[in-house]
Amino acid sequence: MKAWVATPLLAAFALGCGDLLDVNNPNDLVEDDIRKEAAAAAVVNGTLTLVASSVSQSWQPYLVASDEMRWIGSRDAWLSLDLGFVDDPLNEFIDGPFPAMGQARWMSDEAIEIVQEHHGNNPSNSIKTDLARAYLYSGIIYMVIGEIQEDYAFSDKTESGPPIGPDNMHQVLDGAIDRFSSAISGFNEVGATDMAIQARALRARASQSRAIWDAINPSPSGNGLVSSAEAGADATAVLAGVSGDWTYDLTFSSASRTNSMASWVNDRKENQIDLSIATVDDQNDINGIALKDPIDGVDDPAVIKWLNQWKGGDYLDKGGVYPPLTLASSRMMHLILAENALAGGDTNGFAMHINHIRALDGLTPYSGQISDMEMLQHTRRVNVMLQGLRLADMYRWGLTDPKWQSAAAASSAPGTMLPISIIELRANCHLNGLGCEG
Amino acid sequence: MNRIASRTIGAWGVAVVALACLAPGLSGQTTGAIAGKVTVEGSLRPLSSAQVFIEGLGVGTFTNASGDFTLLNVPVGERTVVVQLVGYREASETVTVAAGSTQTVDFALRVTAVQMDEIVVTGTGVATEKRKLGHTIATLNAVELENAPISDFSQLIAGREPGVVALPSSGYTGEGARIRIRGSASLSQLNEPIVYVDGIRVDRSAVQNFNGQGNPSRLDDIPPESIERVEILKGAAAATLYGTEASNGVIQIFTKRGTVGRPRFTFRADLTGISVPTNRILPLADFAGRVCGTPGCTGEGDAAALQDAVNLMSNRWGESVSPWTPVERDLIPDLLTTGFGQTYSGSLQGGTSVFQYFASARLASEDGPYDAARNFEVAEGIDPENDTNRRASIHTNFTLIPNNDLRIGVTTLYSDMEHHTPDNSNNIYGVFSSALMSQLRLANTDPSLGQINQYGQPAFATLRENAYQLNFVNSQHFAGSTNIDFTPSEAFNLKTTFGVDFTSDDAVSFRPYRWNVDGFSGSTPDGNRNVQENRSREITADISGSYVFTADRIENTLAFVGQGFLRQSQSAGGSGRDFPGPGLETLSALGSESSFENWLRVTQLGVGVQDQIGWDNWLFLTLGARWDANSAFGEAFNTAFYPKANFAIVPSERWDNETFSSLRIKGAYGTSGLQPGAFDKFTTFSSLGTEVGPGVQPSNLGNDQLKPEVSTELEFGIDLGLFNDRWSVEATYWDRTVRDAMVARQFPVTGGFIQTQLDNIGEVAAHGVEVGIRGNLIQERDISLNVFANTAFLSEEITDMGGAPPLKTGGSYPRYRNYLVEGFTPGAFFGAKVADVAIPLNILDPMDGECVIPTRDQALAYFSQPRNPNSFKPLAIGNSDFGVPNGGLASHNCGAGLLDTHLGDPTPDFAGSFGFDLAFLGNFQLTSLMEYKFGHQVQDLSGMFRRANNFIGRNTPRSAELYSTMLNPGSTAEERLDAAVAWAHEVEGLSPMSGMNGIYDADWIQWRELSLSYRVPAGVIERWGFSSATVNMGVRNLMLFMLGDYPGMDPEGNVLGRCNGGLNCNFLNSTEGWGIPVPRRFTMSVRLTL
Repeated sequence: MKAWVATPLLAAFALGCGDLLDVNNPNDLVEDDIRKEAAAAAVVNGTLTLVASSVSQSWQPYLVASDEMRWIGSRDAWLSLDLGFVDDPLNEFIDGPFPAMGQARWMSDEAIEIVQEHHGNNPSNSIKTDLARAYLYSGIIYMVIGEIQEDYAFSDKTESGPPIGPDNMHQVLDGAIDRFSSAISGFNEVGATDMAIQARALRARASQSRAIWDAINPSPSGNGLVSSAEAGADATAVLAGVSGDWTYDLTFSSASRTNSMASWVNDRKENQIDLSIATVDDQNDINGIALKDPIDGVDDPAVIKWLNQWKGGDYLDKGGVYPPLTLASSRMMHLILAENALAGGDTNGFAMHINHIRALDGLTPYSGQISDMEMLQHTRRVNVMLQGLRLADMYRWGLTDPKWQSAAAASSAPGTMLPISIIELRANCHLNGLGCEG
Repeated sequence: MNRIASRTIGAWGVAVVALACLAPGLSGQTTGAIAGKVTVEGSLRPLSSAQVFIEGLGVGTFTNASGDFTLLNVPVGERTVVVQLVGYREASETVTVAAGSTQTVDFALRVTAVQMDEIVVTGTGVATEKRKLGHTIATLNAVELENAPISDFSQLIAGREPGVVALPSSGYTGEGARIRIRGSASLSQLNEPIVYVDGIRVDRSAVQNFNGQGNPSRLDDIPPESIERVEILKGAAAATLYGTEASNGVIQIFTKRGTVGRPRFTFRADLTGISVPTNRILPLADFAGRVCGTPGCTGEGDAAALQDAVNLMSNRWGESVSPWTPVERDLIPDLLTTGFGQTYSGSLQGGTSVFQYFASARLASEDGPYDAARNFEVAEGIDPENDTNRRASIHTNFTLIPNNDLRIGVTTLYSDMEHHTPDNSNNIYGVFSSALMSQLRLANTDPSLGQINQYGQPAFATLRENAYQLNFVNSQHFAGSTNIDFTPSEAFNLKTTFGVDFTSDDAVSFRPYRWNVDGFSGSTPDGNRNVQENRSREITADISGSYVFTADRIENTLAFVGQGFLRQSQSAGGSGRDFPGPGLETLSALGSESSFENWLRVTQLGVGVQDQIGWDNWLFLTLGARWDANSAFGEAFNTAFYPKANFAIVPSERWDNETFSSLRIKGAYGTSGLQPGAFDKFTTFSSLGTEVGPGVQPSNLGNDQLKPEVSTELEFGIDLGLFNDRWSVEATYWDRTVRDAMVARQFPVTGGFIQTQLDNIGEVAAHGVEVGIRGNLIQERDISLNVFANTAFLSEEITDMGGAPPLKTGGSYPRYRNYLVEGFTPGAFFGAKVADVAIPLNILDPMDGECVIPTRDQALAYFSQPRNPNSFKPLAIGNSDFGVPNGGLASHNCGAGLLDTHLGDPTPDFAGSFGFDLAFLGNFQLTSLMEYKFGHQVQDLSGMFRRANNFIGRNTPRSAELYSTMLNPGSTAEERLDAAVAWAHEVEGLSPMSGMNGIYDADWIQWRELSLSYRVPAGVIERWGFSSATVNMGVRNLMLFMLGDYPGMDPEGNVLGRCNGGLNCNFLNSTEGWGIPVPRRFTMSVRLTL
């Protein structure tokens, strides 16, 4: 009904009521607000929390499908992942985290676009830093998508984006590498050396993940060893710039959000660290270390390190909901260099980097007590534990989880990663069979 | 606040008593008296509580227990005495009153089942007899229910009117019910009717509390004793003049008012025993061999682990346990006891021709049947949560009539509630749910054998720990209104109503420091606290008027209405975790905390006009329309227009036939709407905490084209009175189409905005038939029997989703199976259904993605060794789309459309009630009401968990039996195979076979009410000064008759109760999960009138 019809009838009420019908939403910002320069930092900050939150959600099905975690609670969909059914788009724990990944990815690109607009001529250091941060956080979510997803789509608000296809998922890792490169340049430009090192470490990881992607797609082939000169160069540079047992972590606190995965594991006790890594009591609380160092036969110190971090200081505690998630570390950098060396036939170089890591834990140096490949596999398993890399490592090295069923994708089609989940399959017009016309 | 409330009650009490004392003195002239008796025509049975008054004068009273009345101070002259009582035809006699003398006049009222002469006001623009209306308007008269075993409004409205249903959730004390009228008109907006009290809109929301499924209802703030009658508009055809927000119907509650006559004091006391029927709760079952049935239990360690389990079970349950023989214990009922409730209410009513008053106060307190703490030693320093509800309310209603043209009414209603409930519902920390997930093999009360775990909780927390979580809410509700009724002439009437409804509640969930007394739970062991404060204020301004024009045989009534509503609500709160030590209970004591604040405002302005033409009092035609503007409409949309038209024909006015004594034929067309949420039109970004400073995140996609969805309804029906109106039949067919239905559309989440966005793209069609029959079967001197029956048929279908993908309740949570799918009933169940093949087991590797049915030999080979059902899944029906079988099979790793089988509908095809009202032996009355729902399915979610879940279930006797057979090394392959097939047909469910073996036909009849009342003879009570006294014994939910194969505890249970909107609130229905069954309530009450 047109306004002119109703206006006379409503006049008795409307007169004197002023702007009663005009309400604003004081709870949120509208789109114009976030495009103001003053909001640039908030846009980038928000991206960080979304990225961290997404990683803490998206890694969990990946970890449960691998031999790093197992189900102990009430939600049966975890069992499917435990059994290796990693490709089910209906699985609630594949579907549940998927929106957060979409939100983080979109927001990270939006942040780059928004801050880029403010960058213009003669930008302030603050804007330059914000832009570099936007690239860094965007690179992280692209890297994680590339590492754990079988396929992905890039949509924009209501506009569905087509899936790029499993064969093209390396492009996502390439996108991550590009973003990290932009971040490194940006941080260097403003003299933020520490942040440049962080971005470089992540580029090293992303570059190696790119090589691993090649190793397991379309299906695993060869001995699983990968070598990436780009990753090696970055790893070397990072190790030159850091000292000791350095890590780059996504952090969580009551100021931001909980670490979703820790909440499920430590708080709810729906999942627990796999029995191949840690032993548990009759309440499924960790009471010991199952994974031993292959040379010294002791509880592996690296496992203890990561479990201590996971449980808030002491792995025998129940743990909290805010442990950090490590994305890169000096251990990871050494591992990249060690694998590069091994793949290139440089066993001394391999041993040197392995022993750098072992020295951090006070372990006996490696000198061929077990095979190089066994040493690499063990060292990588315990030193990048709970860091979203294990399933790909299992695939490339032909390792299986005893819990995997033969009919499960993890067994029957190694290399299979997490699918585009049902919420996207139904909503994306390129995927739901309805088409995008009209 | 309680102190303030007490002072308020006191102040009002003094005022009321003073006015009551003054009232009789306001009259005084040369007068006489009129006395008499009121009985039932055809018998001499006296009628108590009939209203007797002198027409045109402020003189009136009520009959006592003997049906006697006396009108004092009646001015001399010729006077018309009128007698009214619900269920009887009005009667009047003219007598001549002489000074100082008493005239006697007796009345014999005729029973009538026909309500055509009843005056209604809701949605009609002007007070109108029902006969003139073309649409349905239902009325519930509280006087008819005063002996019914009801304690709140939700119970008052349940099962009495076809098409109006109350949906409870579980049996915890103080829970409110959802109310649905003619199903669900909206796919996205709250499907509750809007509610008015004495002309002002009141808060209809749930009183939000944490960690529970059954929130209290704001509607239960209104004490039943204060309600005079309720008018119900069932849909758009009747509710057009209420415009936007009215398409789910309108409930208007009229509270009791003062009446002309001497002060009349009524006192009522109710004592209630509350008992949960536990006969449908299956015992717990378990076997020690299960310890070796998990994937981790293989190899040489088995024997030792098995023996440990045998020892633990034998020690805990005091019997020698063999590994593969299930042990059963009926422990769950131990958490329940007999609850107790008490209600005291009193009212004062009276007045003169100038001033009339009604005031009442009520205190209701209930300690529900939940009592887990009686089963264990309470830890020192912390208290377990209770299941209690306390409500105090006062209600006043004053009417001032300075002259014949003007009537001014002032109504206030205040309610104060304190509500405690344990963690419950589909909640891993729920106490009752903990009991349901108990694993007998894990239970231990011997510290020397390990950690205390009394019931054997396998995860999350022990039952005892869960019992220490506190959830409580304090709530206040005030509604106040002023009504001015100006009638300068018989033809013209003008009414204004101005009122405010204010609600406030403070909800807290609280885990004290070291609440995990058994050292089991890892969740916030140092405690946590969530606090939320909600404030809501709604202002109503209403002006309406009518002008009646009569000429010859035509009566024309022109009515107009203008309304404005301003609703504003604010929520603020905080949460945090980790107290530094015991005894601390505030947010500020927490180690980490966060806070929030939300605000919204909605303004609605509307005008309506209506004209009704009547011809010779038997033909009536009404035309009308309403225009609305609303702040929630999108920027591109201005006002909404809602037309209406209806007719009524009363041919019985033209004949005089005792058999077909009255007839109304009616038809109506009308529209009304529902507006979007307050801020749905905006594209927004919300704040987000970060590790490095303030941040923002995408929030609402926004849609500036948003407009109200429009419900168009057609009604046709007849009202038939038979045998001198002793019997009535009312039948109505209705048809509703909701166009521009707002669909909460999910756009691709890879686009960044993950919330659904409303879009006017849907259409929902529904139709139904409502039939009600009531009549007087026996009318003798000592016995009178009235019977009634009603039924409502309902059919709903989503006819268009506008290309949006199906929506599932619960998001990615797979256990909630209610969907919105085009072509199906809203909330229809979809999921996996076991295939009808000989061996429906997916035990062979699929070939090329196709499921393979094993031969018997293949199956026997597979089961030649013990098998855990984790290692195989059933074969199910495959689908090519929702509800479209593809003729193939599907399972978790083969086939297609595993979860797309249509498993049923949660909404009953037929719902209604039947019963009787028997008066016998002069003073006894026996009433009964049976409520039923037929033609629907219910998901037994907690049963699915108990049957199938690997860790927290498989603890029913049947699943333990099958499970042990499959795991037992001593079983044969045939035994294991038979058990596996039975497992597929009876037990398997949950993810990835969501929906399987969980959704059942659930036709039921509930003996909802039975009461026996005894009216104490006048001769006995008059010596004490009472005019009437009634003793009543009533039972509510006496017995459930399950007609379907539903195996759950209570087919009325639902994982979600009274709620405030959203997909789950609307369509997560008929899904019983973890609640305690709706209890029986045995009430003894005494009602005294002075």
